[in-house]
Amino acid sequence: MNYLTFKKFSLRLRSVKNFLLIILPIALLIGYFFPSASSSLNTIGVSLIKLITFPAIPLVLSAVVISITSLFDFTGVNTSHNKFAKKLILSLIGFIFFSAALGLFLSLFIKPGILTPEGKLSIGKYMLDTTDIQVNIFKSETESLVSSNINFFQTLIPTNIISDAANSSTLRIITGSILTGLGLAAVPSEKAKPILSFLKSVNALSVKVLEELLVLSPVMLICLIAGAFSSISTEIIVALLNLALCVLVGSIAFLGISKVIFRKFTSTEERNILSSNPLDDVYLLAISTGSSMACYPTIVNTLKNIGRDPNEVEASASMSLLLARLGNIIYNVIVIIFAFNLYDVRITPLILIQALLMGIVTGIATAGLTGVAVLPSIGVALAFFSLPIPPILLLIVAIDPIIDLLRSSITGVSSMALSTVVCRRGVV
Amino acid sequence: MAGYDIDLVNGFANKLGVEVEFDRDSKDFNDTVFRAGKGDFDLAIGKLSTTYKRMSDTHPHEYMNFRQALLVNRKFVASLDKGISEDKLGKDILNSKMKVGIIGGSSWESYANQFMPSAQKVGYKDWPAVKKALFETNEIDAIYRDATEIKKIIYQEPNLSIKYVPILFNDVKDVISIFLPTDANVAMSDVLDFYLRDYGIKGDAEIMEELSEFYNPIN
Repeated sequence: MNYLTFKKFSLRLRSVKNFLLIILPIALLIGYFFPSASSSLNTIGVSLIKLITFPAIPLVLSAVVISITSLFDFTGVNTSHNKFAKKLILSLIGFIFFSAALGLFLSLFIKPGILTPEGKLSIGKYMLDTTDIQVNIFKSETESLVSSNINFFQTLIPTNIISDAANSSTLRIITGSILTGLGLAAVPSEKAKPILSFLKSVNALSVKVLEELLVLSPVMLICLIAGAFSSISTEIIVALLNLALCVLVGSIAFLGISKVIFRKFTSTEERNILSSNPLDDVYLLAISTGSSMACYPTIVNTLKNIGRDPNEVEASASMSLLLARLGNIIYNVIVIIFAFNLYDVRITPLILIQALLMGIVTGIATAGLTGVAVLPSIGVALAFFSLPIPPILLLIVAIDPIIDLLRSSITGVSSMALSTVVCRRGVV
Repeated sequence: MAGYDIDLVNGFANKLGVEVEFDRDSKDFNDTVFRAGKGDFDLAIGKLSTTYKRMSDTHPHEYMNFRQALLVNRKFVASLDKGISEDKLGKDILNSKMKVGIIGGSSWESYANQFMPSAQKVGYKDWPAVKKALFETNEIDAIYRDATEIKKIIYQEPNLSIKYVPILFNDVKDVISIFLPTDANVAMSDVLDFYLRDYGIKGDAEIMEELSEFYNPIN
């Protein structure tokens, strides 16, 4: 089998049907019959994820700078830029509030955190010894008492865009890229053009490398599911079933809503150009990689193929994937309600509005973070409501390998839907 | 009657070739030691903490030491948590104005005054009453005793660890002793020390491991 045949085969596997009929059964069988291999399979899966994220830093840097430059025109030459920027920002705000409201609605309906006695027992056993607080009364205090919140804000401040990129400081790269993009939008176009041209080449190269690496995604998915199947505590999954169900329903609902939006905001001619539903491709890609950024090439290529403005497509896809993080917003709202239910907080309309806003703020604060690294942001919301942080984090970390995939899928499909809404038609 | 102390004292009596007669009429822990000093019985045992006050008419023979511990309502902890280090958080809890339940007339009253000067200390007649105040009537924020008693609560009812968290004082131990009257036969003291040397001084982790059936989580 040569590379092209393997690539074609891998691309065919990226469909719901093939995922359910081929990838999932193979992964579950491997996980069931070879539980001792779970650690190795996890290592292979995580290594492949790291490989796929290899072009992420240049992609993020170039995409954000190009996007910001496309969004704003401070020279006053091109007013359509500012019109698009306004449309994108308003749509982002609309999508953000809609996703948070959906998370709130789902969690009020499914009620995560209201546990059966068996569920409470499983969770209690899982927490035994692990959340104990150890105190040394006579030890002198040498620990740094700097609040973690201050550290978070420090991570936002860019130092030097080259060194930030070299150190993989994603949050600093985003803020640095936004400043660079704003600077480029302010200088005359003939001076900005060479840098933009260079960044567009970097972007095209990063997208190409990512596309080729994604050929490995079915292998990665099999390794991760098989590894997770034999290593994650099924008892905890059962106990936290309502929480997982809430996120799963949110993920499927967003896929459905995004499909409706895509259909509504594309013409029949545009859809006829495509051989398959791109939302399915994006959904599966995010599910299989756990990275919404991996969906960037598919979103951009699909919308460019149907004739949407390439600059607008790149800007909206990168901004929504990097900054809006709708998957994290929905998830944070759900976890806040989960904590309310677990700790018997009386839910009032005011509390619900606060939960919605805290979910949005902490969800957006995860920009640039992936995987389990996004979870501490929820701690800020829990601290706001004076709810215990360590037990909640311990529980959500336990099931995060699964939930992370669902969060990424929501961010991926919502980015595709948002880009379809805001990008102009009829530009070839 | 069963338990580590019962096995220990039965073993000692066996070595001496005498029968054990248990007296359980004392009002509280202090009274048990006081009565031993008066000569009401030959020795006092029953997870008795060692304090200078108790040494006026008796002398202690250490056989266990347990870390002191609190079981605190997580909501109370969350109200103090400012994202600081765990050790600092533990100290903040000790310096807070929490309402802490203790067994009245026990050494825990003086420990509480020493380590939790600002806390509101509430004494109850016995340990079940202390637990009831935390879990049922919600009158208090925390309960205070040694690690074996605190951990036993959540080992036997793991679901409680969702709402309550143990705080273990790594460097403050409750020294548990057998008390002999000061006017007891000096040789008796030496024999007891010789006997206890075989057992060794046990920590709370060892005790919980040795008596795992008693402490292990319920199924």
